[in-house]
Amino acid sequence: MTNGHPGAGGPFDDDRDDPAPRAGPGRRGDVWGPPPRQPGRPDPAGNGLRQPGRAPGQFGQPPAGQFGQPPARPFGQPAPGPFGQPASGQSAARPPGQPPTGPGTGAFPPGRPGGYPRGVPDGHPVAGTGPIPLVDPGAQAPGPGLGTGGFGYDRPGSSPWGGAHAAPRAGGVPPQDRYPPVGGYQPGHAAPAGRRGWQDPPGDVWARPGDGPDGPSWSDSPARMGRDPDDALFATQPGSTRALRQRIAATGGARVRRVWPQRLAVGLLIAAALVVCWYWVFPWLENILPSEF
Amino acid sequence: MRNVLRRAGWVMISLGVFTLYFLVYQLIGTNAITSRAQDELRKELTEQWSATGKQPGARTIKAEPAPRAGSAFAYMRIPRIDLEAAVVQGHERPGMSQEDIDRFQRLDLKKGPAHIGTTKLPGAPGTFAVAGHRTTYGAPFNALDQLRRGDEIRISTALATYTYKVTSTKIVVPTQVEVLRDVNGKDGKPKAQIVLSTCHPKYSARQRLIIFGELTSTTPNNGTVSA
Repeated sequence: MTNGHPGAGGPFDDDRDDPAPRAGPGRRGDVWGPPPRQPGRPDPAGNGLRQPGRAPGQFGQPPAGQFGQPPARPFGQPAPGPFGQPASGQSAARPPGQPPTGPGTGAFPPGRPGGYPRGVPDGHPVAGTGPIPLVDPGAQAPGPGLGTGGFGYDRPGSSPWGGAHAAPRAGGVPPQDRYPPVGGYQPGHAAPAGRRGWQDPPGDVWARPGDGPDGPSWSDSPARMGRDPDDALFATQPGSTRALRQRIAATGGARVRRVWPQRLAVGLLIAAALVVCWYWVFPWLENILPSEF
Repeated sequence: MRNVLRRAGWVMISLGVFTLYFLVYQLIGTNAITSRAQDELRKELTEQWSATGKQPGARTIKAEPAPRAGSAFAYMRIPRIDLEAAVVQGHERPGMSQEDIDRFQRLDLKKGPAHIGTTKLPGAPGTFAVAGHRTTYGAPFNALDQLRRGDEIRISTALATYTYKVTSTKIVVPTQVEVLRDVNGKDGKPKAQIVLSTCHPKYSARQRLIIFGELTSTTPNNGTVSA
């Protein structure tokens, strides 16, 4: 259980540890909804999606660097994790003015507060967490769903449980993936946050607004009401981005293969079938059919 | 179960698409086949008649030479229905089995109207019978039901142009082959007549539409197909 562990925000703070799903707030969809994106401000995680391994603010407090607020803890001080280690995959804060390093990997700068996942040396790029530029920074993807990222209680006042019951979570990274392989990640090796970070915990996928006792929450927006969650989720994104994220969500974050070779092969196959039918199958079929006109 | 239903659905969709594609082939694609074949047959006739025209005494009307099976030997014009097509010599021979006749007719009719090989040649005493498709493969006889008594049917060969006039129409079943037999005239001799046969009704092979015509005039051919 979440609250039974010391160092809230550590890797064991996950609902999946529960033997049975919690009723009510534990299943609320708005809890795992996306963080708000402020116009002109890129996603701290750099991928526009859920921020893996992120240590949320303590009990209702906003996390460090969110919404322009100062960090909840002093700079350079690692976030508390279980057994005292830094929270893995922390991506909330970046030193002001320091660009992300690594092409598309979003390497953490040295001395990054909050620390790195264990086994990842400072400055080592963590694949999959890079700053994919948001096409529409001001777009707000409401509601839960695959790849939406973020936790609803990261928003000030958005926790349905209140501050005392806000479940600190380590993020969507399952416990078995939070620890890097022996020897650490190698260059080009996708870190767990990159592989799994875009997928919310399974229990959150099916959450719907208004599940909890608190009534309508922020996610019960007009854009969401009466619509399919996925439609509402992707409605604010351009087609290419939407398609990419849908594919990523459909594959659970796994590596997505290119589509055009398959489409080309299918097209060629259909064309070949049409030609074969036209010149060989149909004349043969005419001969075996009983009558002609 | 769901996968089975999904696959069954895809199979049904594929069969439907295949059927539609086959219909497109029948109603459109076969026309292209016949059109190409007709172009080749016209070219063949032109070359053949040009060579015949250069021979001395070629314009003297004689008995038609036996055409080669599968090749064009005449050109048919029916002004009423705007039909102009090269006539293919059929493969049928006396004593041939019905299966072979059917098989050869399929091949011949794909090129255009085909002379039934067991009947007489044009201009000769007896019945000159031509069969043709009504809906597919160019549909040369599509509007054959619009012919009326007195309409002209012109058959041009290398030697002459034979003009027939429609005398009657008849709808028979496919097994009524007696319509192809020779008919005696008032003088007791077989009269020169033409019989056109096609499927009836349209898009069905249940019956045959038969057009009868009598030879009214014979004129020397000027040696050109398009005349």
